Order: sequence, then structure tokens, then C-alpha cells
Amino acid sequence: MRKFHFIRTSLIATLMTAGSLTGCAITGPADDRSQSVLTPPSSEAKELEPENARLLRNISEKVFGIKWLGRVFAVSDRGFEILTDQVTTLSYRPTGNTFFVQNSKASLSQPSFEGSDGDYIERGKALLTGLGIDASEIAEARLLQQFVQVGFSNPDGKNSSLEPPKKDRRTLLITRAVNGIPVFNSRLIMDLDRGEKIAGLEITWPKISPDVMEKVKFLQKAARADFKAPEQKFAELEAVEVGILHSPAASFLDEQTAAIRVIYRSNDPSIGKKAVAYVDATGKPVKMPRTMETHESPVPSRNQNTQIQPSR
Amino acid sequence: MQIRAWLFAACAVLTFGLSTAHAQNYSTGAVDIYNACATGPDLPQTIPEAANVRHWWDLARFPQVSRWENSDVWNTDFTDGNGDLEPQGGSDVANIYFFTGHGTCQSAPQAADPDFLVTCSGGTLGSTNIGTSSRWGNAGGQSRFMLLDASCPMDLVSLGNNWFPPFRGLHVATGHSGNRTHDTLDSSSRGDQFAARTVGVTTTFLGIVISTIPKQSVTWAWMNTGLIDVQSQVCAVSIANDTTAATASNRRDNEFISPSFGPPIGNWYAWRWICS
Repeated sequence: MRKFHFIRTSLIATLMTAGSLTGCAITGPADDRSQSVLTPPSSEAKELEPENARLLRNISEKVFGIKWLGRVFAVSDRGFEILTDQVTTLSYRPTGNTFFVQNSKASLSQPSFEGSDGDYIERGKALLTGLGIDASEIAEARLLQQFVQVGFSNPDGKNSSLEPPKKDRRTLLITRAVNGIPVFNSRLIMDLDRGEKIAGLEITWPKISPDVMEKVKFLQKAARADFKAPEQKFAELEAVEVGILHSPAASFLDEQTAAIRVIYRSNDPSIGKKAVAYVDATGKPVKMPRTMETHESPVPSRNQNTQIQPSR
Repeated sequence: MQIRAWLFAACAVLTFGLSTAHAQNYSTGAVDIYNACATGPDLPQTIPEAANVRHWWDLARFPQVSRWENSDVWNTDFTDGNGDLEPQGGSDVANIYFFTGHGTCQSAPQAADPDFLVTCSGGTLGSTNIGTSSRWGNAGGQSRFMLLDASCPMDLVSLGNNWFPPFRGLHVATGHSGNRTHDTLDSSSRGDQFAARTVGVTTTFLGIVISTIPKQSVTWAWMNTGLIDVQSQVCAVSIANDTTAATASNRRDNEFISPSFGPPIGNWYAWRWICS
């Protein structure tokens, strides 16, 4: 994949501070005792370098099929490169090989693509091919059917009536595996409109570093040999799988690692949500890839005096 | 050149002002430790998940009301009355509440089966029956968006019984439908990416606000992110309330977390779901 440059400064942060000073800041019931301290990424929009703008526009038209209307702005900000005509926006984060396409006029209520499942899937695969992604990395391509339904409750609140569910739009989801190893955070998810244009799209498919692939091999050996999953009380082991984690699509950072994913189910059959641990060969938790750098102050304990007696 | 700079600054400040004028305040509740209540498993991803949610909403400059963890999340926070209006962290105090922790699942959910949120506080397991105990947006409650990441608290088959009654001013709620063998996985990414999509990220260039990370309606954001880290046959569900079938459907599909629509009045409900 081609290389791009990013420039980061703090102009927008300065402007946001200025906004506070002009009295724009909201006043609400925020509790100072529990307020977090966040260090947001610095921001400054700059005009994208002409060569990068040209390359991105080429991709937008040839791969994504975007037909730009009017003036197209080409901007870089916080690691993203963006093209927009103020209706359609393509944003690209090179280090994460992440793309978002958004049409500001699109809505879930609007009619969606009516072509066959096969055509929909081929469109998605063609996007990945156009971006230089090896087809062997496609783990699964599926159309996810959405449904809608409405219902009414009587004023007494005791009786309700439901209309039958209806099939609605389909969403394409393509997942990834490298050499058979699942990449948990990589995916293509896309909604097409009736005119076969992209109503919404996210692709995140970063190049996996050789170090991480080496770590995968090591973990695979460990998982087959003497790996012992950490014990979880009141739970039993359900699955052990080696995989790759990376910063998800909406991120300002790009980190990746390999891990053994251990899934546990509760011993109590009524308890839902399965626990997951991402661990190394010794069973210790791995450092999870982040989306941004943050710092939160600890929360003091809650005043128990106001608690109503808990009950099951 | 000076005029352009002035315009840029004025527009940027104006844009900032507009965005904050629509800011919603929010709370998060995350429960990892359940072993203290003699059940489990613990859910180690819930605490980072809630933190990730906060980072995006803080970036959008939403005022934070509370962010309780573990035993500081009380089951009464979700119970109508004094509990959900408890000023430190009741779920009806803020405009948005994000909960992550255990819920309950049946092996084959039926229409009469309740949906529960499960907390663990003071060594006591707390299970809140959403359909009978939770009411949001009433009696001075401020809740507009109830966003649940708790296994199967929104079973499709029982939505009419469990999710019509809690809407008392609530705009939109999100959750999952599933069963014991098709369940959500503890995930720090699901809530993280959902929150990111509810607010998006913008930048301003020559006075034009440009999206770097798309902002989506609450339902669309959930349809795109609610199936992260789930097992097969789990459904991401979003439900809204309004005066007619058409207005409820419009709210379901098109209401953003900020700026949100006006308060709903009426007893029509519209929901959308997508399954893995």
C-alpha cells in the first residue's frame, strides 16, 4: 500500500478551548467527583498534499465508485485523509488501512440495494481486491438481513398488539483470517442504497506485522502444548483460539498484537454474556490495542448511605 | 487572507457552540466482579469497555454525570422511583446511560419470559426485571437513550412485554436478543465502536465541518457495531417509541444521540434488528 504523510497540531483543541471561553460550554448536572480527565488527540485540519489527494481520489472513483459533485475538499487531520463534497465523505486512515464512506443524505429508512446476495457479496469482494487485499484473507462473506417491526400498547399498558415483522435492508459483513488465523477486529461492513451506491461503509484491514505473525506461531504451539487457560470461578471453559487483535476502525492509534482468546460460560445457566480473556502463552492478559491515548482519574467510592436495600 | 482567517475562526467557534448546545449528559455503569456475589464469571472487558465509551463521549464534550464500576453499580439504579433517580448514579438521571455487565438468557426465550440486568453490590447479586421494574423518562427522569450491553436483555419474542412499559419518555433503547448457546461475548470493542459511531469525529476546514469518523443515528450505529464479538444467531436490537407507527419508525431509524429529537409521546413502538 502506498505511503502517506500525516501532520498533527493542536489548532482545533485551541479552538475548542476558545469555544468554552465564549460561553458555548454546556452546563449540566455533571458530578465533579466522577468527572474523567481525557487527553483528546490533538487536531488540525490541513489541506491534503496534492499527490495524496490525487491518489485518494483515484481510489474513491475507481474502487468505491464515488461520483463527486461540485467542489471536493481534500483534508488531513489526526492521521485521517479525507475527501468530501459535503454530501459524500471518504475518510482513510493509512496506518490502520481503514476506510469510511458516508453519505450524509443516507438513512436507514431509505430503500436499499435490491440485487442478489451474490451480487452484493461480489461488490464487497471487489472493493477489497481494488484495495490490494488478498482474497485469501477473506474468512467469511455474509449478508446480514435486517428486520423491522412495529407494535402498539393500549393505554392501560396491559395489552399490546404487534404487527408482523418485515424484512428490511441487508448489510454485508466480510471477516478476515490470515493464514487461517482470525483477525478479530478486521472487517468490511457495508450498506448499499437502491441505486447500488454506498450508503455507509467501514473497512479496517491493516497489514499485520511480521512480529505479530511470529507471535501467532509461538502461541499456536503453546496452545497445542502445555497452555493452561486461567481459571475463572463459577464458570467453565468453552473455547480457546489463537487470533490477532488490532485497534478497531474508529481509532486514532494503530496497535496490534496476537493473543490466545479464552471464552468461558457461566456455571449458572441463567447468567448471560460469556467472559473472554485475551492472554499470552503463560495465561497472563495481553495489552489490548487502544483507540486513543487517554487518562482517567480514579473514581472515589460511591456514598452508600443513599443506597436502597438491594434485592434479587 | 485576513477575511478568510476571520471566517474560519468564527465558523469554528460557531460550530463548536452548536455542537455543545446539543450535548447530552451521560452515565456509564460497568460490572466486572461477580465472584463476590458467588456467581460468575467475572467480566474483565466491561471496565475498559465503559472507559472506551466515555472517551468518545468526552471527546464530543458530553458532560459526564457518573461512571460507577462493580459494587458501585446498584441494582436499584435501574428500578423506577427513588432508585433510578438516585442523584449519584441512577439510570434515569442522565440523558444517556450505558450499562455493561451480565444479564440473563433463557435456553429458548418465550414471550412471557422477563429480561434482567444483573449487578453485584455489597456481596448481593441484584437482578432487575426490566419489564416490571424499570421506567425511564418519567417523574423528572432525564433518560433518552438506554444502551445495554448485557447479554440478552432485549429478547425479540418478549419485547412487547418487557420493553413497551419502560418507555416513559425514553427515546431509543438498544440491546441484544439471544439465548444460552448464542450469546454475546465480553468485549471492550463493541461499546467502544458503538459510542464512536454515535458521535463521530469532525474537523473544520475553511469553515466547513468535515466528518473523519462518521456519525450515525443510534440505531444505525448499533446495527453496525452491535454484532462485534458475539456468537452466531445473536441479534442487535434497537427500539423506539412515538405517537404513530410512522413516527416511531422514523425515530428508530433516524434519531441521533445528539442532537436528539424532541420527547416522544404515544404508545407506538418500532424496532429494528440484525442477526449474526
